[in-house]
Formats: sequence, C-alpha cells, structure tokens
Amino acid sequence: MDDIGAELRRLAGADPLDPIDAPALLARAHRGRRRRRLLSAGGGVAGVAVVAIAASLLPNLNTADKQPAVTGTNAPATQSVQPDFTPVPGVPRGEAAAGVKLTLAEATRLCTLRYPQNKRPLRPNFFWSTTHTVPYAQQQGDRFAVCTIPGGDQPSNALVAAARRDPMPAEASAQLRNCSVLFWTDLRNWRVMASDMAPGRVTNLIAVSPSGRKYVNCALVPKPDGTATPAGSGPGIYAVDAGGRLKFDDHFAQWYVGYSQGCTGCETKYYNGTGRTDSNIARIRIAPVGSRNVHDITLHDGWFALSWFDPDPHGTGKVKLTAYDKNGNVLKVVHS
Amino acid sequence: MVDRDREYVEFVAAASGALRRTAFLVCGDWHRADDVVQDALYKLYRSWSKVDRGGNPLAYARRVVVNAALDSGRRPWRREVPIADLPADRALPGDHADEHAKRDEVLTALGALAPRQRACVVLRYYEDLSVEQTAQILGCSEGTVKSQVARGLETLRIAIDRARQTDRAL
Repeated sequence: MDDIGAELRRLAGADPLDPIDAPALLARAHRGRRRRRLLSAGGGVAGVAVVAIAASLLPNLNTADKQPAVTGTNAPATQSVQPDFTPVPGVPRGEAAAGVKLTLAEATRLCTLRYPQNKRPLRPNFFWSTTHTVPYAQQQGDRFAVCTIPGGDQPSNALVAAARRDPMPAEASAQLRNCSVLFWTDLRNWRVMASDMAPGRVTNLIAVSPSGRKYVNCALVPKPDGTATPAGSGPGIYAVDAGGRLKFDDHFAQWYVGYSQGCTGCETKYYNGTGRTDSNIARIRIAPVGSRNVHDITLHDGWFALSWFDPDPHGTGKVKLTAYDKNGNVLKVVHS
Repeated sequence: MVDRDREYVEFVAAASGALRRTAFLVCGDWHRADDVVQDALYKLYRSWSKVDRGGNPLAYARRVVVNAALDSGRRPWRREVPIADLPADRALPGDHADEHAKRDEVLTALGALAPRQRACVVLRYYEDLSVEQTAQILGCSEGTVKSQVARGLETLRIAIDRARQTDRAL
C-alpha cells in the first residue's frame, strides 16, 4: 500500500500554482457577507409587511379569552445539555489559546481560577504560557506546588470524572479526552502522531492540532492530581515550527531519551522521551546497554513518544538506538 | 483584524495547499482544484465561527472540498477535454519527458477510476484517513469504502507496475 501512497504524494507534490491568497479570500468573503446582509434585510422588511397584512385579515386575533398555560406540574419541554467545555473568561477558545505567552498578572488570574484553594503567588522570574506548568512561590515550610495554566476550554464535571475513572486509557480518543482535561483545551479532534504506554506508570503522547500549527506533549499518569508534570519544559502545547526536528545522532540518544529509576530502591530503569526527528525514520529500537530487553517505538512523520519500563536490573541507563526506515532497513545507529 | 478573521486567514494560509493537493487528486486538474478549494474556503467563512468552535475546521473543509471536487466533474462546462498535454507514448527516452510519462501513466490510471472510487483511494492512501472517516466524508457505508478502495487499488497497482516496467526498459 505504501507505493500507492507514495505515488499519490508524488503526483500531488507537483503543485504548479501559486499559494492561495488568504487575505484576498477574506476580502471576497467580507464582500459576500455584506451582500447577503443587504439582501436578507430587504427580504425581512418585505416578509414582515406580508405577515402584518395577513394577520390583520384574520378574525379573533384580538380577543382576550385564551386559557393561561398550565405550569408547575410538568418538566419544561426542553432540557439543557451541559456542554463538554465552557469558555474561560478572557481566553480564546481551543487551539488559539494554547501555548500563548502571558504576563505574571494574567498567569496568576488563570491559576487562581483553576486552583482557587491555592492562595500563594506564582514564582516570579519564570516564563508563563497557557497550558504550561509553573511553580508557586515557596517559603520555608511550604510544600512544592505547581499550576498548569489553563487554556480556553474548561472541561465539564462529567469529563473530569471520566478522566478520573480511566486515567490511562489505551484508546486514542480517551487519551485525548484526558489530555483535554489536563490542559483545559479541547484536544479531542487533534491527531495523535505518537504514543507509548508504560502500564501503571506513564503514557506519553504527541498530538497535532487540526491546523497543523501546534502540538501537545501530554503525559498521563495513574493518579492525576490536576496538574501536568513535570514543571517547566515537557508537557504542554507548543508551536510546531518552534520545536524543529531533532537530529538523530549521539546527542539525541544522550539528551532526548531520558531514564530514571524504575522504582524506589531498585536497579530497574524507566526510559522516556518525546519530540520530532527525521521524517524518514519509521521505527526506533531502544536497546539499553547491559539489558536483555529491547523496545520499539513507531514514528509518524518523525514524531516520537517513548515511555518504557525495562524490568532487567542489569541495564546501565545508557542506550543504543537503531533507526529503521519504513521498509525495515537500518538507517543509523547511535549511542548515548 | 478581529480574532475570527485572523484565525480564518491563518487557517487558509495553513490548509489551502494541502486541500488543493487533495482536490487535484480527486478531480485531476490543478486549476479546477484551485477553483474548488477557493469556493469551499469562501463558503467556509460563512460558518467559520460554528466550524471553529466545533474544533476541526480542516476535517470540515476537507469534506466540502472532496465533495465539491467530485461534483465539479459533473458540471457540463467542466467536461472539456484537455489537449495541451502530450500522451504518454510520445515521451522519448533520455529527455525529461520520461518522468512526465510515468507520472502521466499513474495520473491516467487515477483518472480512469470512477470518481467516488478515486476519492476513496485518495482519502485512504493520500490523506491516511481511516475507513470510518472516509465513509463519513463521502456519506457512504464503511463496506462501500472497503470495496471501492480494493478495486481502485488493483487498477492503480497495475498502472504503477506497468510504469515501472517501462522505466526499467528505457
């Protein structure tokens, strides 16, 4: 099937025309809207006149002997359904609000809205953006606490409860629902490009927005506390262009495939990472030095997500990474 | 510029190229594809706030474009036959036309498919959409998508193999 896709992409890649002029199209759309408004206003006046004439000709319209409507015994005919997301005051909806830089005052306002129980100020001298996680200021005796600055879509109680019931789902739609709850941004129509789950530990996921301009780096954990972890870099929504592609080399293995202890006091390792590398890499095999286990991750257009617990205690934490193309040919081997 | 307009312009700038490529594969003509996409994006502006709130303007625009591209072939004034392109068998080995000939062979095969069959193949193998998503866009059952894709693929594969054999022979 790949050859068909490749041929179609080759055919489509030879677009000989200039890009569509977006501002000109907008101007055309404005003209069309003005024209429609004029027409509908004229039509409306004519319609009102016709109705008024017809009503004046009908008998008994002015009599006052109508029975009042019965109230109190029945439920209203229409029942409002609670939307999945409601707007956050002062923040645009959806993708437009995600990963947007804020002042300290605006970040404080949004954190107070989301975590009203936390009265401490945010730590100054930081960078604040919607959907990013920032620390509160800490004085002696204070517990470390963070705020995941909300986007423009506040999830309903039903969505929050669903995410709590199933915090690490395997299905992409449920994963996106949970990430939406995490970032207060409706991500349900975003496209998952890569995901990897270490059961009972973390699901790492990358999804791209409908416009293709932004991506979310989301980490789902078994016991979510209403914040994305860790603070600072990592989970959040970013512009696709800003990230660029990571070169697949030893530096990549060293810096973008991290590891930590698999559990407290034991020698096992947990490996994780997310990002985007060369587009011709379809699969990466992670082989920890000293371990008998390997783990494969699939890439889509270079996007990768890794979340793997290696149960072999002999792994040193260093890794050998082998990149394969879509036909299974080895492209490159790198080491941390 | 108000937010709605800014978002619309950003969307058009980001998505129009991809939409035009999809429309071209469905209708087989770049200029017609360009018309179809511009018309679809123009109409999209009317319902932009509703579509944008829905969260997936690209999916909505894709549906409109694909159906408009399918429809464009049915309009009488679109039934002209292009005569400017040389047929594939005129291409001579050694000149730049041989690549064009290969492209033409696949393009011709694509054009030989029934319009909805072609749209199924394009959505499944160019846009990488699922059977379910393809069925939603085309307003048909998933079984129809599967059978149309299977037939379309067979035809295309024969054309591609033939093009490759011609390549090797040259």
